[in-house]
Amino acid sequence: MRAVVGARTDLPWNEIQGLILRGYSHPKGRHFVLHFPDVVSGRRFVAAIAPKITTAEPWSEKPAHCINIGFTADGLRALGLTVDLSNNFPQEFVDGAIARANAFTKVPNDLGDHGESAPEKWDLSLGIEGQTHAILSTIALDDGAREAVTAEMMSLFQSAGIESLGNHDADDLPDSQVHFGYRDSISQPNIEGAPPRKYGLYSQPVVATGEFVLGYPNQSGFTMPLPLPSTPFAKNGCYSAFRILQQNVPAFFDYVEAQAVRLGVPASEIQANFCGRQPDGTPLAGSTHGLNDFDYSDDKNGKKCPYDAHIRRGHPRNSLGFGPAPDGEGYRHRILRRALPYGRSFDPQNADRDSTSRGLIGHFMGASLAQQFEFVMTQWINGVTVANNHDDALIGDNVPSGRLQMANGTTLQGFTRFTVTRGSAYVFFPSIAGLHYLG
Amino acid sequence: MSNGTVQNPLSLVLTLKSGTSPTSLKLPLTASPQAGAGPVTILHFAWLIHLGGNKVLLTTVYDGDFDAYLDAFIDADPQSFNSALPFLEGAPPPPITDPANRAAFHKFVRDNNISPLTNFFSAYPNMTVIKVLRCEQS
Repeated sequence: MRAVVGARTDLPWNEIQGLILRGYSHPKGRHFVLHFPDVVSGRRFVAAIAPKITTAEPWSEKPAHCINIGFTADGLRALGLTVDLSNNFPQEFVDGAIARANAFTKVPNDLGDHGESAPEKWDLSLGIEGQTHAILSTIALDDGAREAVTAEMMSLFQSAGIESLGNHDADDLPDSQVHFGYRDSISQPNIEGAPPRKYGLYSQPVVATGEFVLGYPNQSGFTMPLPLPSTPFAKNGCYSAFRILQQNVPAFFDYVEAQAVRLGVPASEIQANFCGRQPDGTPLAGSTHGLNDFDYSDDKNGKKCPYDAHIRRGHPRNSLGFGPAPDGEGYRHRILRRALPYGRSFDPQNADRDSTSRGLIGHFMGASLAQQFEFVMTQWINGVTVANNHDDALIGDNVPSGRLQMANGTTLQGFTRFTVTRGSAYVFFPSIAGLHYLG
Repeated sequence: MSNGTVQNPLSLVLTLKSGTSPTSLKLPLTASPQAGAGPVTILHFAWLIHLGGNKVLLTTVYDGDFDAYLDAFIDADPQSFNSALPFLEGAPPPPITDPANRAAFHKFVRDNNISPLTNFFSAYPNMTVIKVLRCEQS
């Protein structure tokens, strides 16, 4: 029997796009925003790209590049599908990222995509209604491999007759850090039935397959309805919020340094309170082993990890008021985070420190955009129902100004928004059979 | 950041189909709030009142946005909704997880929610369930 995560052994890895079940460790990425001028060219392209898609099948040798693709509701319509509730597509996907950004603007239950993060400010035509039809995400081992797969893709676009509206790179930082200075990708969900990870499981409960892959029971034991149920389109697929998130790193470190001086504490202590982890990933709540084997049983009062720390808001675990693993509300609404940093490393001595765009780009995935990405953003990150009455200090909208109660009781306030949305698209990643159905 | 009242009232008038006993209704996910197995972290209070005849009033005070949490309730325990829907006049049919039925149920809740005659008063307008629990804990 093949090795898998959890009890399920029947997931068809070769049918499921690899980005869903496995987090690639390739350090380079390039995301293309695609537009299909008509049904014929669109379907021609899908037929051509389908055999090149990287699946979740384990590899013996790490490939130089990986390719995955997700389609917006507009993209599926451009391919000739009827995308509406009667076909079992969920409302949020039918509406799309622009409409949802404009619908959820009411503080304190907003997506955060307003003001300078509003769709009209987004890059790569992502904010123009009806333009974005697909996000093609390529991941590569190095710059050469990235250019090679780009050339291959550009040739495909041209021969099929479709348009690239632009592309955006991603580049891993040293020690797998993000620009805010923290070690990244520590707490990803373990998906039941996924191939085993090279370095073993993340130290947390296994999450039901149906939370991330359509066509299987979710954490409540229910299999959610499949869009276009009489076709092979949806089973083994997954939704994603593709996001370009610009991080105001100079403002963050300026604030951290100023508060460290004011309070007479190390800057790393201020920094750790924003995240809930030390920069090296060590959780403030304490961990018996590793970086992820912890809960908040011994920290009901937020004296170790602030209630408003980023990791406690985004994944409350058994924080006070939430139940135990694996079914407690604080262990639900998990998101697969398939993202990399973009832009140059922050150098405080560099004269152009304020002019470089840097941040995070990639996919935030789940079987339900409403109950995973949107729920976490509107209810926990920017909402009132998990912590105090203000936003996640690190990635929330912090409007009109941010506030964070540190573990020692000191309140930090008066900071700006550190994370700004520069683009968003709600896409669906079909299975390989689904791609063949589309093409 | 919120400067207003984080709590909101919901007063949902349900019309039972003939033959349905009001006493057979149950509140989903509230049987054991301390277990925290469902999204009860937004519910301050919830109770049912028999208004007479085939009318029942579901009253709750909750934090934040009900629409988002309604879906969380549905997804945490869809069977409870599937069991109740056939007995409610005007409600969509099961399964509640069907996107069209889910959207119809959201509309059903909005349409049958009676707005308060007066402003909603709270003695502690910025206290969420979570914050109340923290005060109780400390």
